[in-house]
Amino acid sequence: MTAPVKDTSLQDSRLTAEAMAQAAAAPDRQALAVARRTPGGTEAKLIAYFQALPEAGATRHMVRRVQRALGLVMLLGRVLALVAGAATLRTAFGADGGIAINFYGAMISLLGLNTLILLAWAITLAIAPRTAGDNSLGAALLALWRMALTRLGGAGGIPARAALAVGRRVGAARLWVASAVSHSLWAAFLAGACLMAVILLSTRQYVFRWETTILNAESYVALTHALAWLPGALGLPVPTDAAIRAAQWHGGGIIASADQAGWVSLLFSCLILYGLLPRLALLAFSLWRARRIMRAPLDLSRPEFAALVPHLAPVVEHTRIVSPAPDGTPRPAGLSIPDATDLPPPPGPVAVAGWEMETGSALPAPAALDLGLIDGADAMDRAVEALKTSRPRIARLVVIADLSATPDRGVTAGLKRLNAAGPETVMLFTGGAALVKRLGRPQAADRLTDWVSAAHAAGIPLEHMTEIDLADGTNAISQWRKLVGEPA
Amino acid sequence: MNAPLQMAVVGHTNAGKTSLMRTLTRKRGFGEVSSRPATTRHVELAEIALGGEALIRLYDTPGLEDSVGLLAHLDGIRQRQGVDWTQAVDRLIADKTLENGFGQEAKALAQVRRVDVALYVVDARDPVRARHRDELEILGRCAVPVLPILNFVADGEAREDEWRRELARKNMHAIVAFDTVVFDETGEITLYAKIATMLDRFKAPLDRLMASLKARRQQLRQASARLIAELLVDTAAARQSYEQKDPAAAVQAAEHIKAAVRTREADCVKALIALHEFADEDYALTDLPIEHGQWTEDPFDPATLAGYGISAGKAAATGAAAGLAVDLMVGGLTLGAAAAAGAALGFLFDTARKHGGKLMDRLSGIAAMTVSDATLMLLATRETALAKALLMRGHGAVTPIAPGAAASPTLPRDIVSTLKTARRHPHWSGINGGSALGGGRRQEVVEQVQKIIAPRLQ
Repeated sequence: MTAPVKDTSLQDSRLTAEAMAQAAAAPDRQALAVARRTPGGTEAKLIAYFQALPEAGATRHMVRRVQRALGLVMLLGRVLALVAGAATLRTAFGADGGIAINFYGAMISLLGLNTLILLAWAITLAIAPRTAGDNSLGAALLALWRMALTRLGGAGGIPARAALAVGRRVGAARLWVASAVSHSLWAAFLAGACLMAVILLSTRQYVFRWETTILNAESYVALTHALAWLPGALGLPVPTDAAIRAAQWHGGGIIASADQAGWVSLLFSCLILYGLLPRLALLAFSLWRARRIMRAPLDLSRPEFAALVPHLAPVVEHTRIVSPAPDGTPRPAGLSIPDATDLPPPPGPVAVAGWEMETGSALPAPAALDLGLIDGADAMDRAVEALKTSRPRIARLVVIADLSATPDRGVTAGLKRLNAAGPETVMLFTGGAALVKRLGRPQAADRLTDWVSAAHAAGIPLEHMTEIDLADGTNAISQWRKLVGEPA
Repeated sequence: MNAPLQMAVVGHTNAGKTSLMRTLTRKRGFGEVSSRPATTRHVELAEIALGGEALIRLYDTPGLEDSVGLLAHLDGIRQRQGVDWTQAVDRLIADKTLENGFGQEAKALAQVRRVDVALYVVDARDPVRARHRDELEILGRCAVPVLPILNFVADGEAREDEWRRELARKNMHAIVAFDTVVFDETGEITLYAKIATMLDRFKAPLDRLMASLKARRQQLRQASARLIAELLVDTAAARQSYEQKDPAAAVQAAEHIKAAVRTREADCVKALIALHEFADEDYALTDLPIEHGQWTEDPFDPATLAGYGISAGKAAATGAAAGLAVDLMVGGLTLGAAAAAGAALGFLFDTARKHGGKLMDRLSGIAAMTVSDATLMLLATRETALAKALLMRGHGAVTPIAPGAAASPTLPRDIVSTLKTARRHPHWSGINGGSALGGGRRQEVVEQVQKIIAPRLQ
């Protein structure tokens, strides 16, 4: 469906998405549908989403314009630097129209500041990279940029959002952007100087010389050799010893040197090898680093994007009922049971059984027969057998149920069997307070209703059910005693 | 494209099957969850997809209720009809008369027989009972691998060890502890990892799913930290100037900035809740004091600070200016360190822009209200607590997560010192009118604060 997008086009799409994400809005249904159909990863879907929004075209256009405007500013800067370089060389070659050029004077004015600033850049980069990005020429441009943004009206408009999106990416890479700007301006400066040198040296006759007041001639010879070492090693012509010595100016008339070609070659070699080429190499490196940062994929951990992600590729797209529920019996609502004190005393010996809870030491006082926890088919068989064979005959069976368990059909089936075993069955529900703590009051009340209806379905009459919280100290003990027939 | 992995979620009634579905699918609205028995009586399918490809078909089934009776019934079929256990299960499923009374169980078992793996959910707070043993017995006879999931393990009453012992006796050694209410990301990953070992033909898609879950989790953590960091930078950079000689203006400025900060914080709360796919109206989202998407305790009230164990400091202002600081300083703006060689032009430009306004204010007798460090700390702490609570809240939860689970995180004072930079840049704050401008430096401070907060959301 989507053709492979070109790198710049992808970059524009990212910037467009980032510009549009600034306007907080509820997810657009139609755009979401487009995004979901888009193949590929989350970023592709995000880009497709923003691309499908109504403002996408205008925003993209504005993103391009902002970038073009930046490019224009940079171009203008380079042209100015080029002109400045040419002008500097013109001055160094003697704007007064003289024909003798002080070689070292020219070198200092053309390469001196460049080298110093280059060193400063390298040192700042090594020591405090953050300061380098903040407080250099590039940062001044960024500050201007921010001012321009404020002029654009801050929030709201598409231009401001587009500018902010571009500005953010540039800002994230500002250390390398600033470096690239600086290197490119200096490269333009040096290129301008070279160009002007070609023009002047082609159209006029110059003589290179050097002069000194306090230094001796030998140190200039050594210095020139040092400068000429690299060009010489590369096989470029350099001034000979004789030519160097001959170029010393002692005042008075112009000395005609035989070896101007060596000096011209050294001039260009120095400008290019020590000035232009390092700047171009560093420019390429800075650009590469800056691009790598600026072309980073969308940051999905940005809240604007992170909030959209689940909508773009939902974990669950649809759900459906595979097998419908049978027509169920409606839930009983509010079956009421009597208080413990309203239950009549037992007509004879009492047996106790635990449902979902242990009996024995959990009981406030023992009963005539303790059937223990009825858990599973075997325990049930044993309990029913005991109820049938116990002598004297058991008159009442108290089944204690823990409300923390959820009553189910298994409860009804089990209680039905116990209820059929002979003695009257009394249901005692316990653990209410703990349940309220776990579920809250309304749900705890529902749970009791569910238990009552499960027991009721087993054939136990409502008047044979009650709730006593056995954990409730003395109150529980007296109620319990009454229920099992012990003297209070 | 391979066939998706089919999983059935089974278990005793009210063990939290639908809650597990909600948590795994991140869908709050899936099915119906209540504390009553037999809430789910149908089989419902949810497809977990990754990049548009269905990886898992997850089936929610009705709860098993009378497993003791069912086991006896199956044993009856087996003996009467002379078939093996699995065939007996199939006969039960095929029996459409429903006279056997096990319609609900038959529905669940029918689904189990059709899937690749059954997730057996238990409420780990329950003691191990015969009904559970019989359920395991029956599931063990369905010729499908069973992975027990211990739900509610984060609850103090959970009997995890008892359950592990019992399951080991049933030869189930691959067990996952996974609380559907208090969400534990490692639990979810472990669940899929265990399934991947049980069913190695699904390993590749499950690995992809796990990687995507981890990435999303990381994304959420970072995005939450980012929202909080943006709030903090906006608040730290907020300032309201006023005529120094006019006491009424000071009160007005204080009220103005306080109102703006409150609104900004409410926006942050809203964004956090939406980011985590919850809604304000979700019943009792957390146990934190938030109502209608707004904290009930005022961030400028010294009592609130005390509640979070934050000292308001010795110069704590009271009355209208509580929680605020008055900025009259021009000192402390050292120009030294940054004046690196070659950086002069940009530096001077920046400095004039940064500090010139303040200097002018000072000369013209204008002071500015800013938000105090203590209040910043409070905002950081409680928003982090909220984000943490949201990260821990399973989508299956119907009650607020237990108190203490999201205890207030302790944040280092680094946050305040990092935010100092923001104080010098009023234009960084959206609170001061307009949108938050500021290029890479603002972004960097936001990211630094984000880096401090994100690890506290683990």
